[in-house]
Amino acid sequence: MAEEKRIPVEKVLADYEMLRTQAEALGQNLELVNQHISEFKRTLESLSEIEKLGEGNEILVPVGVGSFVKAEIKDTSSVILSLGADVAARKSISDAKADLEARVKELEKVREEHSSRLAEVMKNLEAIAPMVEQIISAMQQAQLQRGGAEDVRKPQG
Amino acid sequence: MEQIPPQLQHQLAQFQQLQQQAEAIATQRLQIELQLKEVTRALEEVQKLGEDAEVYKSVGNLLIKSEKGKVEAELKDRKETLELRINTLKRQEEKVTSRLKELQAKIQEAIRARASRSGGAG
Repeated sequence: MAEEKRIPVEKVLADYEMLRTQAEALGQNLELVNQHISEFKRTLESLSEIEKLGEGNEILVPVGVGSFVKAEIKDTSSVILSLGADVAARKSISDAKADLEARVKELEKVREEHSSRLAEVMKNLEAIAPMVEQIISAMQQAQLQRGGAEDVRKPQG
Repeated sequence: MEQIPPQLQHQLAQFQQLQQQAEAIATQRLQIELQLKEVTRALEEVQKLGEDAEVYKSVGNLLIKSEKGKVEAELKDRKETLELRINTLKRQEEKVTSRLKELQAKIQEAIRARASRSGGAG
């Protein structure tokens, strides 16, 4: 009987640990995806503003922590856009914006998938949590009892 | 408390080591798969560009002007290398997994034998 009970207890604890690890990983991924989305949106805003400006307009170009140098825009029709894997290419601003918008949509889809998976994992964690608490308190009680029994035996040994 | 026999201790340690090895290989494979995805995407984008397109390679903080054909060839090369590495890692993963299964069976057998011996003794 005791042997039969031990298996589910181990499984509950293993499941709990696995779900916790999954939740943590999904949370971290979501944070990264959100950061990327914000970055893409900021770039889209900048491109839209540049599109509105005429050539020769003065702008401030960031060169590091809160520091800028004055510059003049020479070209408001195209931009050098990263294609990933350390490669970049000149694209018209409208093409670049379309590319960036497509990537934002992809990332939003990933965010949605991860959010629903995280919600599912959290639901499963909540369902399993009371069982884990019961197991832990039973283990603590058993340990206390064992400790007491050893104390009784010690003087005789 | 009963002592774990040295042979079983050794098998358990080996199992743990193999498990860590399997995890490390899987992590490496995932990282390379991500790189492959990025390279494939960049290659597709480069292939869409016109022949006279202005293409740059990023080196540190700099963007250095290059040529479409050159960049395309480099990306194809990188893609091939990454695919080869993924295949090698997959083979390594299969080997480690089968060794893990073997060892797991041996450990389970040893534990079962001990349990039946101590059950008989008690």
